[in-house]
Amino acid sequence: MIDSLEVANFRCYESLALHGLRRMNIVVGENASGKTALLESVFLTAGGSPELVLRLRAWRGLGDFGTIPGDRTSYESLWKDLFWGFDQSRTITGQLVGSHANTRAVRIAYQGEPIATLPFTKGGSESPLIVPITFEWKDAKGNISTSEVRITREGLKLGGNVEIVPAYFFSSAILPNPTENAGRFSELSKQGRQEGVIAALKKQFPYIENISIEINAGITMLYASVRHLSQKVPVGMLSAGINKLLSLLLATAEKAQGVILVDEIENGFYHKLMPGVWSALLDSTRRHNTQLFATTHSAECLEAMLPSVKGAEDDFCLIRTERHNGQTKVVLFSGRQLEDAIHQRVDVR
Amino acid sequence: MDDFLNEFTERRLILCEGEQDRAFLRHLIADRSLPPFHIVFPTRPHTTIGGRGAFGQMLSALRLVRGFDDLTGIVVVSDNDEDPEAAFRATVEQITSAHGYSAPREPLVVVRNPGSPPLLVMALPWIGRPGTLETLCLEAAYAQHPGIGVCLDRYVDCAGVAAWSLTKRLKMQMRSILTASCRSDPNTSLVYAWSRPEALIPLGHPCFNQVAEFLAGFDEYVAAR
Repeated sequence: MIDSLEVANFRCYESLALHGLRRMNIVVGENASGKTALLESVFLTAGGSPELVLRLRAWRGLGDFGTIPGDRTSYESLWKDLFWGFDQSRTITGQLVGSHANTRAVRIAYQGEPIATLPFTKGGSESPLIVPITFEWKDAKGNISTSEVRITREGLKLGGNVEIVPAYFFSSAILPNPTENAGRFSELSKQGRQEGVIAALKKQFPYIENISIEINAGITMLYASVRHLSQKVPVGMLSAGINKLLSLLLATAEKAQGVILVDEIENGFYHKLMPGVWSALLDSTRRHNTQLFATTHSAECLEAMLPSVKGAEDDFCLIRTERHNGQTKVVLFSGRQLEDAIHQRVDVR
Repeated sequence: MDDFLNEFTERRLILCEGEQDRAFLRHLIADRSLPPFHIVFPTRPHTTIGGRGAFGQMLSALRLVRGFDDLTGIVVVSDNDEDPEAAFRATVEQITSAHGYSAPREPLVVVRNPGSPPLLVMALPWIGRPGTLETLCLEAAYAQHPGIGVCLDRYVDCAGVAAWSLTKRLKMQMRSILTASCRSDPNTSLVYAWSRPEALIPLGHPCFNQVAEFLAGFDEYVAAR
């Protein structure tokens, strides 16, 4: 479990310190107040490769990463919006502190010897020398893994590190990946642990009888056996909400100590299902010792959380991002305060 | 989302027991040109508790309302009922259950805690006096409608209401005098008493002076203690 998060110079956060994180961390706040950036800071710190930044760019709608020209401006534009105030002379730091496996830090800065990649861009007027951006992760044992991002003739060269905190990011814009889900289900199935996930799904959707791995047009994916249907149906075809809940349950179950990051958790769920979704997620994160960070804009979604919070106040906290005069402020409230506020119809968003 | 408490629009806050108290305080503040207060009371959509019994939950919840950190003071307004000391103790229990607030020794004593605005308890009808908001409102209504008051006293006697507890008797009298004096809507309640065309409960009556004067000098009172 991650108990605290400290971030500096990352996106809208010049400085952020959050202590007292819980198993279920609910993030609220207005648009452009830093909710997604908060999830991203956890994702990046927990991770182990600069490639994560390219994924975040795609999830933010900046398009898939293609060929990059070898000039400095193009290179730096890939990373510029990671830095607070777009000030690339700063050093980004992130630190997660918690149980041993979840303690980890990241440091991102332009450093090292300037390098040039041949051939130069035709007619380029600026220096071809690029100071590479370096990502440095440190685990709880003090082991450091460094990845310098270089442009080569084949494209970007990104290093990586295998010892990471398992973190799963569910962007609001991207649908669950069927092959990833099938892979997670397969891993659980090999260990005989898939039944818990199926049971949790059936509890919310009683007409689902079973889940299995099948191949559809060459793609491995999950199918559902549904009562009164003569054939199994791809889960993605059945319902976006079912697909999403199954994806979340698989992610929470796959690896202990994992962190599930969900942007706009309410998307895809019928409002009457939300109490059951919260209950299933709390149950699954407890059982598998994983942790959830979820953003929401929905009052219904928050209200639906009440039955799960009641009696489990210590498992919840509310994190509200606020923006005042260009500065981002983050406030953390306890599960008990969250419960009281929902009871008293306080708009906590 | 009109029924949600979104943001404090004023820097002073009153937490009262219910909708009637809020209506009274709102109209008193407007009528006497008192400084503005944001007035809230506990709601009960998810719970059976409300009124004073939910002060603790409400005080805890209020921290999540935007603008809480900018509040300059909180007044907890509570009825004395039959026993002012017991009522005050019950209010203090609620305040301390909310965490982050110390227990005031007695009504009108200001308590200060880091991270919380100054807080005090104001009792109705006033400090040490048994009764409720209706005690004050009845005094003003009787003065406004003396003829109905005479009839009401007889009604209380002959209906055996005099044997009821003080708070129950006050509610019966309040409802009765409003019904008898509000020709436009005999079904009106204390919540709407100041929204009717008739002058049912004149807020200029001297019985309201202690409450009004306290609210008028609230900033100075808190600053001096």
